[in-house]
Amino acid sequence: MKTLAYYTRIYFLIVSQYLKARMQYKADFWISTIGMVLQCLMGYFTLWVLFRSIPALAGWRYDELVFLYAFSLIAISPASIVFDNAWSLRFHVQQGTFIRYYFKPLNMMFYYMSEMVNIKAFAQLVFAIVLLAVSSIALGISWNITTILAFLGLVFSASLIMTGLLVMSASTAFWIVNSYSVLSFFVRMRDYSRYPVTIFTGFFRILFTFVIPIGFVAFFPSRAILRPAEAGWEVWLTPFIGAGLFAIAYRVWSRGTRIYSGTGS
Amino acid sequence: MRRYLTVFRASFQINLAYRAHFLFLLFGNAVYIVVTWFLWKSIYGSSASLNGMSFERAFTYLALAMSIFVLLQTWVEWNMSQRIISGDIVVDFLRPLDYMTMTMFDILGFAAGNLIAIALPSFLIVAFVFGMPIPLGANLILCLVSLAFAFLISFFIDFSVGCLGFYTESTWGISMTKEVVVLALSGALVPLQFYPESLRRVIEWLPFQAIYNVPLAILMNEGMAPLKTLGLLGTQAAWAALLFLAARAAFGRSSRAVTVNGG
Repeated sequence: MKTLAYYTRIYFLIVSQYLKARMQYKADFWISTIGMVLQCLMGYFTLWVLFRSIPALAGWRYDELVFLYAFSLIAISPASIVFDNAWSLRFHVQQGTFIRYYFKPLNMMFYYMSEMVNIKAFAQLVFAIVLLAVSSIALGISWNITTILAFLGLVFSASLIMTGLLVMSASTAFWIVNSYSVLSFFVRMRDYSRYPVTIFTGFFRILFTFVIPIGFVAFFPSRAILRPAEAGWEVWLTPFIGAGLFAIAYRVWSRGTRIYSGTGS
Repeated sequence: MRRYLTVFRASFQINLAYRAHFLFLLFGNAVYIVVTWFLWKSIYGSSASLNGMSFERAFTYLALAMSIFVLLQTWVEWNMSQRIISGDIVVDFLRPLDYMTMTMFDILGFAAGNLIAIALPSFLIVAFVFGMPIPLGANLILCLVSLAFAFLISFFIDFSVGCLGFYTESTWGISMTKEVVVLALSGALVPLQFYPESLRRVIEWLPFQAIYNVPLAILMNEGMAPLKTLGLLGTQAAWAALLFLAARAAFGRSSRAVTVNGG
């Protein structure tokens, strides 16, 4: 049984090699950090432009939506920082290079994901934390030890949902090889986690609550923090959905690695 | 010319080679249009019109703008950078083909696949499933012409950005930054009518709105004065020509800086 300490040490060993390789392209690294911040700013700009024309979206004010946006960005960050290699899975499957992950006495998902750490996404995380602070001040949220703990628990659960969805989307590569369309669908749905799920009705409300549970990524948790009186029962499900979805994603991944047969050349 | 058409055909077929990928692209795009409908329905709430734009127009515009975005998302810089890093770019340079023209036909083949998988179905969904008022006449053909210009403008921008790869090798960040700038300044996510007046005046002088705004304006406006249509197409042509020269110059300069890691 390999211990957590063992895996932590290995993780930093692999990651430091990756960083050395990445630093070959210094110019691109700095530009991509700027690009990441610009991308976050654009999400903010979109909200700002919209709210020039409307007073509220589905009953939610500008500052509340900024909070929602910041919450969803924080929830996305762990998946973008640690699980970024999921995006390259389809190339490894296509070109047959995935085979090498079978040859190490390590957990395969761990080994595969540890090969890349997306440092740029830290810029996104910092941006999101600043935005969260700004909007909490604007909304007059009083943070105390209970709300902070609740927030951390919820944001962690939400990040498990995001990671689970990402791993699942990427894993489709084991079956359909080119998983780009699934991944880009994931990104498009992910971007909708920053809006109140109540903008949807009927079938789509159920879809985004239970099937592709993006409602739990930011909306249900934020609602409980922003308007405790309207919290609703959904927020209590967040940790279970997070853990459940990640477990399912891990199974999908494991099943995929079992059926993968290489390219035969 | 025939040699370039072969490049075109090959990349068209590669794009559509993975059947499941193709079907999911169709499906995902349809879902995305529905989701856009919900968001904008909710933004409009009970107002009939915002910034002089009805809900129907805003929805049609955004659903189709997003499909143009995917249509033109052709990974030019990404492909160039991969080949620069691996050194395969040398093979491309040795071919008896002009590198830029060859890349253009390669990308055109990919975009043609996207046209069938994304743009056409989006148009059918918006026009017939949602029953949005899109006039069906000569504007369709003019819109296709305008889309061709949009492709050229977008390709020349992408290619110029890709040329930076000769210096930086990896273009991941440059490419992402470009995408954000283009999206924000073209009105692909929020119609330009929603932007502040001052910002709009700046955007009108930039090439990005010629990618999204012009083809959609031509598509959605029935009986637009022929002179105005010609004027819009003329602006696109002028941008395409200008950016062509810029891309040529960028390639001429940067390709001399190519370094190939020995193997």
